[in-house]
Amino acid sequence: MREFTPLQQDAICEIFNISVGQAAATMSQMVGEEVLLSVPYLQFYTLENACELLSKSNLRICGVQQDFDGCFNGHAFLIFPENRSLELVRLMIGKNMPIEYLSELEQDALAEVGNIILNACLASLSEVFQQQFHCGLPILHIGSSQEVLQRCQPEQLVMLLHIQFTLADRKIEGYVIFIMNSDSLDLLVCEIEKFLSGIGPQASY
Amino acid sequence: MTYTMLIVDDSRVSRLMLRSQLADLRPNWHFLEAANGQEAIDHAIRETIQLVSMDLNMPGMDGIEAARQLHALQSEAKIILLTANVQQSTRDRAAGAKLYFIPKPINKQTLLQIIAFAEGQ
Amino acid sequence: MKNRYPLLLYSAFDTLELGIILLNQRGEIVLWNHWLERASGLSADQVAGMRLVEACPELQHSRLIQALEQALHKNLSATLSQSLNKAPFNLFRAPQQQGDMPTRMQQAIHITPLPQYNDEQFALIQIHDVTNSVMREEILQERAESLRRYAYQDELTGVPNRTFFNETLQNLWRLAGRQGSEISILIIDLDHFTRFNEQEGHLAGDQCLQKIAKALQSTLRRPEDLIARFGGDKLVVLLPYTPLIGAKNIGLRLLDVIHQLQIPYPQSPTGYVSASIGCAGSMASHELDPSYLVQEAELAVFFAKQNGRNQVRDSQVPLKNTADSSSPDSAASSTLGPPH
Repeated sequence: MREFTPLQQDAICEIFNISVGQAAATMSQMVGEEVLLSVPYLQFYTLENACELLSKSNLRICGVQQDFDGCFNGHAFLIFPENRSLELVRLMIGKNMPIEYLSELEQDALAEVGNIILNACLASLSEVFQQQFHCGLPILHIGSSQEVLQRCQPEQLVMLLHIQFTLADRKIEGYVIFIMNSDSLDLLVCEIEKFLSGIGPQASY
Repeated sequence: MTYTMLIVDDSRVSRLMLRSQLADLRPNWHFLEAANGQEAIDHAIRETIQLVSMDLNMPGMDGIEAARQLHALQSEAKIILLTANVQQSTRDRAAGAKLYFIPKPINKQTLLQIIAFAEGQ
Repeated sequence: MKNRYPLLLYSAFDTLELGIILLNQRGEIVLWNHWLERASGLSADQVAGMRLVEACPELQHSRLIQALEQALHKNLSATLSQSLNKAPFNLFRAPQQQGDMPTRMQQAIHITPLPQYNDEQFALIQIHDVTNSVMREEILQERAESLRRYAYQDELTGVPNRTFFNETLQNLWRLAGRQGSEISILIIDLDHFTRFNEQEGHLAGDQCLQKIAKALQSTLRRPEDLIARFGGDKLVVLLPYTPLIGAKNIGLRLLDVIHQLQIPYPQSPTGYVSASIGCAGSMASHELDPSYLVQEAELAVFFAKQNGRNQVRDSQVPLKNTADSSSPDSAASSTLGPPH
C-alpha cells in the first residue's frame, strides 16, 4: 500500500484541519452553538479494504458523495454509520423525535452537512495548491459500504481521514474519504511536494 | 537585543510555514519551536521570549492552558492564538484569556497581522 | 445549434415551476424568472444588474451568500436544505383561498457554478418550494408521536405500560452494566384488591388504581425513576443507580403515600387500602438477564403477603417466625413494617 512521508501526511492533515475548522464555524453559526471538529488521522486503503473497514462496526452506512475534477480528480465522500448520521441531523435540527427512518427533509439536511464539509476540504486544497476544482452537487447514499461506494472502480485508492464532531456534548465519529486512481494520487503527492518546497528548505527532506 | 519568537503547533508543516515566511520578512528574528504545551513551557523556563504563536488543539495541554502557564513564567511575552478553530466561541475564549486571536490559514494577511501585533506599541 | 433558440430558452425558464436566478462573476443578477417575480413581488426589470444582496437584503450574512462566493470563485456547488436554512429568501405563496394571508415559502436551494462562458464565471441558483413537504412531514411526525405514546401508555392509569417498562429495563440494564452501577425495582401489589373490586365495584377499583398510580408517580422525584403499570392490580417502579437498601427506603415512602391517601376499605385491618411491596436490586452485569430482578421482586411480594401484607420486603428467605403473620411490626430483619 502507498505510504506518504510523515511530512506529507502532516501537510495533508493540516490542510484538512483548516477545512474542518471552517466547516465547523459554518455549522456552528447555523445551529447557534459550538461545534468541535477535529481530524485525528489519515490512512490509505484499497477500495476493498476500505469497504471492509467501513462495514466492520456498522452494516449500513450513510454517505454524501461529491465528484470533483481539477488537477486531479475523483470522488469525495463524507461517511457516517447510519444511526449516527440520524443523530447528527437531529442534533442540528433540534428535533428529538425517534422515528425509524430519515425523512426526506432530513436527508436534504444531511446532504447539506456533507456539502459544507466536503466543499471546505476542496476549497483548502484549491487554496493551498492554487488550483481550481470543479465540483458537483452532493448525492446521498444509504446502504452497505459496497452499495455506497459502488460507483468507484475497484483499482482506485482510498485516502481516509477520520474525523470527530462534538455537538451538544455528543461525540460523533465519521470519515472524509477521497477515492482516486493512482495517477490522481501521484498528482496529489506532486502538489503536496510543490507546496512543501515552497515553505522552505527544511521541508525538503 | 534579539527578538525571540516561540512557535507552538503540533503540526510540523504549520511551524515550518510560519517560521520560513516570517524569517523572510524579519530576518533578524530568532525562532524557537515547540510541538506541544509542555515543550513550550520548557523553552520559557530557559529563555526570554518576546512573542508566542500558540495553536489551540494539541495533544496534551490545550493552547489556552499552555498560554496561561507561559504568562505566569514570562508576563512580558505577547501571545497570539493562531488556530483553525474560527468559531465565535473560540474567539471569545481567546479574549477571555487575554490572547490575540488570528485565524488560520497562514497567508500574507496573517503574517502582516502577526508583525503588526509584535511591533505595535 | 446553441444560439438558435435564445428566446425559446428564456420563455422555457419563465414557465418552470421553480425559481431560477443567474448571476455573473460580480454577483449581479442576469436572469430572474417569472416564478420568482410572482413569489417575491420583484420584477425582473427591477432587479436586473443589481447585486443579489441589494435585491434581497434578507440574505446578508447568510450561508447562501457564502455558498455563492464559493460557486463564483472556487467552482464549488452547494445544497441548502430547508431544515438547516429557514426560508432564506423573502418568498411567499399565493393564498390557497380568497381572504387568506399569503404564507412564507419553505425553500430548498441548489447553487451550481456554470462552466465559463466568454471567460466569465456564472452561478445558477435553483429554488424549490417545499412548503407542502414540510407540512406533510409535520403531520406524519405528530401521528407517529401519538401512536408511540399510545403504544407505551397504560390506558387506565396514564402511566407507562409494561411494554415500556420492559424496554426501559433492558436499555438501562445494558447502560448500567457498562457503568458498573446498581439497579433496583419495586413491585407494588395492592392488598385484597380482587375482593375490593368485587365488594366496592369495578369503577371504584379503577379509580383507586388511578389515584394510587398518580400519587406514587408524583412521589418519585428523580427524572430517571420510572413507574409503570405491571398488570392487574400491580405497579412497578424502576430505580436506576439505586442499591437495594435505598430502594427499600423508597418502598417505605410509597407505602406511606398509599396510606396517606386514606382510600376507605372496611375489610382491611387498617380500614384503608394498603399494598405489599417487593423489592429487588442488583449490580447490572452482562452475564445476568434483567428478568432476574422481576422474578426476585415477585418472590419478595409473595413473602410480604405471607408475612401479613402492608409492608416492604426483599426476597431473602424469611426467618422462622413468619408464621406469626399477625404482627408485622415484630418482623424479621428483611421485613420493614408500615411507616406510621
